[in-house]
Amino acid sequence: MLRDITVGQYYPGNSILHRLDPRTKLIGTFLFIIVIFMVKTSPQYLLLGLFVLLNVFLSKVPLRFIIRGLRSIVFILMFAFAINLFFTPGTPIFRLWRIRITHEGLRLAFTMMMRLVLLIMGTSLMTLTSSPIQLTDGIERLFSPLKRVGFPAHEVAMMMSIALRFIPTLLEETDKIMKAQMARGADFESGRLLQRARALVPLLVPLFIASFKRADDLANAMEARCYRGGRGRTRLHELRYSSRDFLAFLTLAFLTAGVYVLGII
Amino acid sequence: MSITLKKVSHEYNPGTTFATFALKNLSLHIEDGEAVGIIGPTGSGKSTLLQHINGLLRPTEGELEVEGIHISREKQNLSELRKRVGLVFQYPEYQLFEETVEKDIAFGPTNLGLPPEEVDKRVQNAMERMGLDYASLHDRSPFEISGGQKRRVAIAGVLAMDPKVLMLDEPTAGLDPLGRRQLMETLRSLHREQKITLIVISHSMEEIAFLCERVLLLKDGELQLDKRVEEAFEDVAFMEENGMDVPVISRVMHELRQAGKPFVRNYSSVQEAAKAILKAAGHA
Amino acid sequence: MIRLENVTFTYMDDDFPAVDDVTLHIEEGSFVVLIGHNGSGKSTLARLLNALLIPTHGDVWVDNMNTKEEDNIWEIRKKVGMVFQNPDNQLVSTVVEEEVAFGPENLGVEPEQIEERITKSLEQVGMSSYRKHPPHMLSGGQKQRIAIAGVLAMEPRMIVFDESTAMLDPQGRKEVLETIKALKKKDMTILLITHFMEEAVFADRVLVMDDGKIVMDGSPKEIFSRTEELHSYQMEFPEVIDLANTLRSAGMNLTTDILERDQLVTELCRLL
Repeated sequence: MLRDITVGQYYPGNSILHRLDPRTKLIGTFLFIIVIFMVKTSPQYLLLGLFVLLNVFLSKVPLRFIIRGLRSIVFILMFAFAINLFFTPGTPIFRLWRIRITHEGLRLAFTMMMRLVLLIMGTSLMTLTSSPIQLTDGIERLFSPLKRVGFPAHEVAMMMSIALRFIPTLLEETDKIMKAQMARGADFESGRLLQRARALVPLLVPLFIASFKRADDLANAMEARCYRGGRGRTRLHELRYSSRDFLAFLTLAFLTAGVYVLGII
Repeated sequence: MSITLKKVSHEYNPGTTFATFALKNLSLHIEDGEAVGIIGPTGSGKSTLLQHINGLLRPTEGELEVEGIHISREKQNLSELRKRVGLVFQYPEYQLFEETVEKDIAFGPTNLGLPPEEVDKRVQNAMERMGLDYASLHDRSPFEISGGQKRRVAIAGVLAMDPKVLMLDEPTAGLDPLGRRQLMETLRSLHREQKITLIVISHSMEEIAFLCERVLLLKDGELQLDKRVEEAFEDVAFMEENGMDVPVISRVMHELRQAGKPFVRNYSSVQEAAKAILKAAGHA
Repeated sequence: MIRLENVTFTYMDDDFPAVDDVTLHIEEGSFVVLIGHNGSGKSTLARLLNALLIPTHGDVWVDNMNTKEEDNIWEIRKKVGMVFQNPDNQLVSTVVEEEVAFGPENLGVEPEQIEERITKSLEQVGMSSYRKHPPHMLSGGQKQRIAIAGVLAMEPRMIVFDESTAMLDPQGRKEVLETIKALKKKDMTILLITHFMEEAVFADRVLVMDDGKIVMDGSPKEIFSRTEELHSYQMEFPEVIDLANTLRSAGMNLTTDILERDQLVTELCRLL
């Protein structure tokens, strides 16, 4: 289940999308999300859908990989669909006992679902084609103007990337401690809520202690390697906009214009 | 009572492209009171095997019978099994969580639903068996004692459940030389004097030779060798082929024999080897 | 390379010093192994060498720079690299090359030069083909080699290994030891802290610590011939040396040069 979520996963590759500057992808995705919430008509959705598919094709990430990511949110999609379908007032087109489906409801349900699907696919594409490091770099650079007003852009980005780095380690650790306590007869699965919460103590205490130890070790290791915050630091891969990025922004501008035009006619 | 595995396989992520066999068609029998060493390269399925014997993992194929309890793919209540088979994980001190040593060791027996007096008795007994002084240690925080003591407290926490079988995954990893030797001696006396069945994973052939009578070699989830310890270290070439070493003293003996010296065994302990060499040199 | 003069260090809440009045000189290009039981002060001593800790009393000099002076800290850490015990807790990045780049990036090295350094250091530890891999998928020994590469990329003159082999399996330990031996050949100054006595026999010099003091200091041959003394500091012998000592004390005429297995076998073949 957890493994199926493709949002936030990286699919290594060397496609044009992979090579785009992460800042371009971050801004691009942000713009795309705004555009999604501007569209209303089917031709507009069709255009956005085609645009996403084009990007999937360009990214060389297998389509089924992205679809698999959608599968994990099927429940949310269905829920949103049903809520809109059954609870939107308007002209009824179908009625069975208390259940009533309206023209507006049907329309809204489809719109909402399309929006969610496009949203997920769009953001997945960003994370699938950018490594966590590139993304944090991008975020750091995008927010660096805010450093002047005291926003710790570098520190925030560093924290994000370390968090990402330690997620697999901590998951492994949790699994290990859980098993060790189960071998001592701990029960994490049955009992009422309060009992269950109490049963977590033997898991959480060791996990906290181990995490503090790790944090301490890591701090030492970073200091030993001359880490002293963002000042004076160079980067192996300096972010630089290239012609690709201008092309990407141009495409996005055309898309927005297209959506706008389709909205008028 | 004993442990029997019949064609046990365990597959991780079955049916996906990541499917891998952690155990493959494993059959073996361990009698009561044996001391068995499990060796093999990292990722050969050693830990997976221990976790099967105490029911933390279930076989995807085949079945086990452990201390009279049948384990197969179906879910069942395994608390009875956990009482009889104790499992000590690698670096077990990381599972300590209570305010005092006493409370931490009491965690297991309390989970078994034993009355408080019985729990107290078990805690004191387990500490004694692990060579921990109850009077001076029981109300200390488990986080403020030395590394070697932490390790012993963690093992005592499993012993307090009074298992017939004690399984340990690399019990001496990370300890200093003295801590290592003392723990080995404690474990050996648990086995020899208290007749507990021992199953120990170790990368150190010297430790295996010291502690165990029988050795199992796993590689890629398959059982490659199941012999008495002395016999296993006779076949140096076979061990090497499987990425394993023999105790350094056995290797010395092996090389002396290859050079035509009159020894009958690859003794693994310093004392035995010294005795044999002195005899051959006419110093006996 | 490094001089310690009457160095004492006491942790904040402790009554007794972890390192107690240590005076020591580590020469450029030497391979020193430091042993001692847990809590004897080895790791504290190591952390004093690269200004992760500053002495409570006394001075630590790295190439005539005092670790006490704030301005020297970064230059000192650049010169004295450190590899720690737990391979999982010292890797900061999710890609090998980024991991190796971390040090040089902190030093403000130009990107093209960082590239070169990555190539060179990965080559030195034999991990070039893993450049784009995520480190957490590697074996323990490989992770430690990446950590070593990360230190090498800072172009240090000395590397301190703080029990870097303690958590590895025999294969991983062998990999790391081979790497260390290769570094020694290139005149890197090395301080290896370990619990594995077999690792001490390769050193030029062995130090034994007990209660915060350096209590023994000599060549492996010297140290391992002082049986009683070594035992009194809770140290064990490599089994090969133990066997040789046993045979010698039983009256066999073995030379005192025996440190490794093949030496013992040759000697026994001569005598038997």
